[in-house]
Amino acid sequence: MRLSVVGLERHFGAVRAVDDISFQIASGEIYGFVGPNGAGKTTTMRILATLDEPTAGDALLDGVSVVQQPEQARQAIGFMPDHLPAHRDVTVDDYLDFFARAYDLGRRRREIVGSIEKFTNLTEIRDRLIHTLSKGMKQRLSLARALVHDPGILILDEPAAGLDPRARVELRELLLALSDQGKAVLISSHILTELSEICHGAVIIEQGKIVRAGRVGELLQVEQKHLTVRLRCLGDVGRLHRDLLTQPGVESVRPVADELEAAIAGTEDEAADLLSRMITAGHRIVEFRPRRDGLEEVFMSVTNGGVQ
Amino acid sequence: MNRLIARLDDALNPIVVKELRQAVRGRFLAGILIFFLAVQLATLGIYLLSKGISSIDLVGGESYGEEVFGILAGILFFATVFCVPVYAAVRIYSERRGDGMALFHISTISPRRIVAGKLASNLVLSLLLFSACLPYLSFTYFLRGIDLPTVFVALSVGLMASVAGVQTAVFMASLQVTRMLRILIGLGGLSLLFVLWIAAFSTAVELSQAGVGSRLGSWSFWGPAMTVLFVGALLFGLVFSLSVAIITHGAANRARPVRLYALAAWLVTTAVTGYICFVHAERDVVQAWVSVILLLLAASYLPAVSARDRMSVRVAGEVPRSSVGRLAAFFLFSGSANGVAFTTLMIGLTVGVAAIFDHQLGNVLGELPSQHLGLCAYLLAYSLIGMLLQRHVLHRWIRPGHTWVVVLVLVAIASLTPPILGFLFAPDALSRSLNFDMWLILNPFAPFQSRLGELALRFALGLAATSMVLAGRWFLAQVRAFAAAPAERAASGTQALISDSEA
Repeated sequence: MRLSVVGLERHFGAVRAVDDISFQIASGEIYGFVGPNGAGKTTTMRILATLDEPTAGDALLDGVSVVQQPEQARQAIGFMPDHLPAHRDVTVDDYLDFFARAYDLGRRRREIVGSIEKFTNLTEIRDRLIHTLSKGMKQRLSLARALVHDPGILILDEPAAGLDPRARVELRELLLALSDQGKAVLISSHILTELSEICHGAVIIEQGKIVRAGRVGELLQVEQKHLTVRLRCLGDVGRLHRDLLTQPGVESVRPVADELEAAIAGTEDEAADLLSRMITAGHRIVEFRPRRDGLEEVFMSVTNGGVQ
Repeated sequence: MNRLIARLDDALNPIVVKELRQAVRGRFLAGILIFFLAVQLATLGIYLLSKGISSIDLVGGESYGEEVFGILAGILFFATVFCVPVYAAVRIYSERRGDGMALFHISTISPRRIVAGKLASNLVLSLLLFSACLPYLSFTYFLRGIDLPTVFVALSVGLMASVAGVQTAVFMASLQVTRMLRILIGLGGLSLLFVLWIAAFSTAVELSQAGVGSRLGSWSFWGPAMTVLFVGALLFGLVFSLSVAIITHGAANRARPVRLYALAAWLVTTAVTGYICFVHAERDVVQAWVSVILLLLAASYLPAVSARDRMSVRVAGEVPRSSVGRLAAFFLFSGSANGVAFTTLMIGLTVGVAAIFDHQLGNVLGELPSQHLGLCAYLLAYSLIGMLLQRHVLHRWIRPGHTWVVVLVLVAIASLTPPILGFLFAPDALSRSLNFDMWLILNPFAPFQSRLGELALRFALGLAATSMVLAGRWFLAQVRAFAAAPAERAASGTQALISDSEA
């Protein structure tokens, strides 16, 4: 299933909360939806989930319009809002059973709910009341609810917010498994290190506009201005430090524990040349690790934190 | 058998299943059941003890059943006509406040099913309370003075009042308004439920005193009962369709089902009124018909001007291509100008039909149609002025959806200011005035003043005409947008396809 967002706009009076956003996600791809607070992420996601209406533009799910055919679109969308389920006196199992009934799953309902509980690791707490669950458990329940009708596209608004490290790892594994099942996933998060580990691509927005979009590799390559290299050598680290500072393209060098970290203006070609020169100069280098910029660095370099 | 149960289980409304599961797990149902059963038991016990058990002769002594039934029915009705609807309203409010209702919307469950589910689940709670209290109420039969048909009819009245209360609560809790308005609406709703409880309770007492059993076979019972049931069913349907419209997504064509219902109800009531007037020669009914229909239509100007001016993409997508279809659709589709046009058309039709009835029946209506027409004209004028104020002056502070509040404030100011100013600054003129009613000329109910009727009608029509001129540009802009929707849809549809293929 393919999600195509075409010229999406949402105006609130004079404010353009979403301003001409277009991107595509194919089946099996996970895309990060990144932006500062107030950038228009939640508004866009609510439009994609048919909960809000765009001022202009559309989003097509394999050709089905979320604006013109919201009822059909809802069959294909699983939406996980940033609010957690807060129903009182409802168990995990009853909650999922309710949504399975709401999606008219009929006789297969029990079987499907059972398999989703198993997939999201909720089987053991299926009889617990929702309001007694931890935040991590509620997040998993919210994801399970979004999956109950087996949608082709998942729209997840801040699913990792407030989760402890273990819950984050579990969520990451679930998302990767969903991607393997062929689901297209659009996920917004502030935890960019998490996103860069699981996302195939990212859409970065600010003040309602897309500032960068594409596959993670392409984004990183475009934004690559300098490289950070970690070096470890046997012998005189002080001499290596002094020699590095004299090399062309080396912007700075700083010791980190028993290693040196050098910032190099240029690409991996310049890094390879530098390594070659250092070995020629007689330094006994046993470790040389170039480190690429991550999504976080890209995000910081392309946004200025402006809100509308 | 298991297969049948499974099939029934699958067919159940999901909202009913969820609500009842929550009710069973929660404290409300158990609490209210135990509390009211205890109250009934205590009341019955205290009553019997106070009268002296020995004095009750179940064979031929005094009759206590009627009095005890009244007390017990009052307690039961308080639980089912007041408490159950309040519980329903609180639950809906909490769901609307969070993302609960939004999650319902992104599933494939329809708003109609949600409202029906809420109604059905609360009806089950009421039935549960009725069945729990039934032994006590049946016991009153043995205390003499009340027959079983009366018990049954009185309890039916209570059950219907409970349904009406729950429907009212569902409607009021579904309204999306500011906190202050919600408090006011909540207080209004509580008052309404209280009045409903009193009405149901007093009807039950009256029925128990008069007795129903001997009249069950006569028209003197079924005539009024059928009338109440008919009017009640129509009003119930109206509030139901309004509740569905309120929780339907704002981008959907949510006015259409309500207007279709209103049109159907108008046709049915017109036919029934005509039948009763001309076949049964009951001429009073036409007065009630004119009054109720025109009052409801006059009030519907307020939600009409609170609707959105700009058509949503979805609504625009449904505008018919044919000019005849488009003309009919204009009156039925969502939109502020559409609502005003529909209401005005219906008022015109009602006044026209009333004139025909009046002519055929020999002037039975008197001043009634012109009085109500005056009220409608006043409300049209105030609604349009309120709309213009909201759109051009108050739009920074008040959303279009709250235009009805502006209209109500405007009506209050127009009604109260002249007499107050007259009293403060020209008390002599006020006292000398031959016709004090002149100070009330801005009051929408001025046409009902006997000495002001004709003048007030002319003034109201003039005010309405002036406001229509002022709002002319607003109205025409929406008419043009509506007429152009199919062409724009075709153009933007092609663009979207081109963009998609390019992408």
